[in-house]
Order: sequence, then structure tokens, then C-alpha cells
Amino acid sequence: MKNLRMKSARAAKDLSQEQLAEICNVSRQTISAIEKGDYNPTIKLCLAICKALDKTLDELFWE
Amino acid sequence: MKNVFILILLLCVAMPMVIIFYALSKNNKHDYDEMQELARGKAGKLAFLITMSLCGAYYLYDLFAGDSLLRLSGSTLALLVFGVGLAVFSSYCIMHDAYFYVGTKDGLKSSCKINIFICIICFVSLAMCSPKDFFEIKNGIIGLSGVSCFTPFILSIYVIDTITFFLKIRQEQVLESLEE
Repeated sequence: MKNLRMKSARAAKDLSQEQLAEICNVSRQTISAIEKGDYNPTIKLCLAICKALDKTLDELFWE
Repeated sequence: MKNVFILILLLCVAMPMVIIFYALSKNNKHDYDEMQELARGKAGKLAFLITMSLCGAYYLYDLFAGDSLLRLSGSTLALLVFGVGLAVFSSYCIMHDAYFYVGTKDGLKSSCKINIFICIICFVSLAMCSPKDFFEIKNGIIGLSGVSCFTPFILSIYVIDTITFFLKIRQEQVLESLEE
């Protein structure tokens, strides 16, 4: 399932996938896969994304 | 005498290379992310399964048709299995974005160019030799002959990798156009 909340949070922060990937120290493809719902990130990466986007885990990843 | 020379050459060239590569890898700050690690693990598993299947298939061939048809020597089979495993592993990693470290810019295109260059060099060296320089058949066993026997194997791996690079670049272009 697509993670549209993460995509919109990233867009609201005016960050590209590349920039978010750099902040979280992962590849752009990983961010793309998470947004598309192709990959379930570990809690460590979820936290890094939440910190980068100033959101809570619930806001971005809770169904 | 020739074997002693090769042994000395290996000790003088290979050992420092191993030490240098080990030292470089210790200082290497690059890393793969979690998704890439996962993909590389799957690639290793797939490569292992395919090489084991290949060995199994060859064992059956050897058992049932080895006497009437040609056999492979141990070194040829080892090189073949190693080449197939490497090609499967690298192709899987390329297709699943797990070939380059995190933060590698433009890795696909630059690697593709380097691969094409290596393929051309291998093609030229292949064209300059005859098949006898690579393989020899003695008593129904296909064996390797000389150092140049590595060229066809290296070429096959690089050709497969280059094709995979092309496919990946094309896939990314299609995905980008779809997102737009």
C-alpha cells in the first residue's frame, strides 16, 4: 500500500526524495520504495524519516 | 620450474594486493542501507541456489551422458560456476538498486560506460586469439589452456552486467516518465 502521508509530508517540507535520502543516510531508491509501499522500513529508519520530516511515527506510519 | 615461478609471482603480486584491498576496505566509509543489504542477501541466496542447481545438473549430465559426450575439467567447471554465481549476484543487485553504495551519484551510467570499455577490450583480445588458446579437448575432457582462458568468462560476466545496466537505466527512465 502506498504511503501517501509520507509523500505529502516530504512535499510539505519541500524536500526531494534525493534530499530526504541524504538526510536519512539511505539511497533514493529506498525512499521511493517506502513511498510506493514496496518496502517496509525498520523502526530505525522510520524514526530517521520522522525526525527529518518533523512528524511522529503515528502520523506517518500508523495505518 | 614454471610452477615455482607462478607461485613466487602469486606471492609477490597477489599477497600485497590482498593486503592493500583489506586495508582499503577497513578505511571505506561507504555503506549499503537496510533495503540494499536485504537485496544483497537475497541476491547471494539466489546465486547460491543457481550455482548449486548448475552443479546438480552437471552431475546428472556427467552421470548419464559423460561417457558418450564431452566432460568438463575441474578447473573449467569451477570457473563456470564462479562466473554464473557472480553474474547472477551482480545482475540481481543492479536490478534491485543494491549494487552501488548509498550516495553514489550517477553510478549506473558511469559504470555502464566502464563496462562497455572493458567489453571492447575483452572482445579485441578474444578476436586476436583462436579457440585453442582458451580451451583444449583431451580424452573427451574440456580443459582450460593458458592464462587467456579467463577472457571468455570475464567477457560473459561483463556483457551480462552491461545488459542489466541498460535494462535498469531504461526501467528508471520509464518509471520517471510515469511519475511525471
